[in-house]
Amino acid sequence: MNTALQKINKPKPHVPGEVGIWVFILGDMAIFGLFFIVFVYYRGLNIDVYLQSQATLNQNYGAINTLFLLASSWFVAMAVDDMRSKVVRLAPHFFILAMLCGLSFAVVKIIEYREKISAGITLTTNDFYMYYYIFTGLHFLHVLIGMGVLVFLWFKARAAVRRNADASIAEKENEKEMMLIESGASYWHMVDLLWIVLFPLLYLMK
Amino acid sequence: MLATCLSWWLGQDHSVSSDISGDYRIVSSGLIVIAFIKVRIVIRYFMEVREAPLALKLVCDGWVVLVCGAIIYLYWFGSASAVAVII
Repeated sequence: MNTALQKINKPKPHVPGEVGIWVFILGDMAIFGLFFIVFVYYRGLNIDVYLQSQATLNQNYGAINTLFLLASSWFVAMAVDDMRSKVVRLAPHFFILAMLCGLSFAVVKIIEYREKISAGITLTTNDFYMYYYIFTGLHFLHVLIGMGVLVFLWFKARAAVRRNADASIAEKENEKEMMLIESGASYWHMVDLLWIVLFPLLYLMK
Repeated sequence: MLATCLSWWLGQDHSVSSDISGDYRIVSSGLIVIAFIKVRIVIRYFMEVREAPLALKLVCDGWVVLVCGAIIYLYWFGSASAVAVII
């Protein structure tokens, strides 16, 4: 009897977002995981070049960008939480703040790239910089796609605020809507977590 | 938000202290482990994997342990030893 009751009360496991987006996220994480391991492997073969090159990176840019992405991820998590409530109020504002953080990340990254390129440091300078440009470049591409996703989520959140008064929206419709929101949010969190590893790997590991 | 600031501070602090102490290896390993703890927090709480089916939880935790473990191993024991293990 007790176990039956426990089973009823226990919240059902829930995949946040579409199953398809999770296949993509896990695939992307597997690829980046391999990148990280390859980087540390080749670093071990030629440690002096990696250390000398790393010393020319500006750690502050990497650190502030970590902060921007973490904050952005937090804003998105708050927005998703708000979207679940009966009356959606703050979600569009949270998405705007998340977008501003994403934009700030992009601006800092562009400043960093410009500094490096104007100092004559490019993809072909050495192995470290090849990995640096490929990894951060691919991650930057993810950020740009993520910004598009955030704009889409912002539109959805605004529509949800407008719909607040309309009780006729079917629950099923809402569920579908939440699935989309959660899928986009999960993607953005993945962009954040990949940078969390890239930062110590490229900028700090001595 | 507090966690965000704390992690930034930790990153800054460690990068500075590593210059002073000279023992980079432990500090660097610590930074990698801290990064993966942050990653797990993002996965569990922001991505809401704590409420996901067991299979997804296991795959995510498996990724964290495998990638973090491989990085730390290669960092400490060098690339040559990794090749020896594989062969």
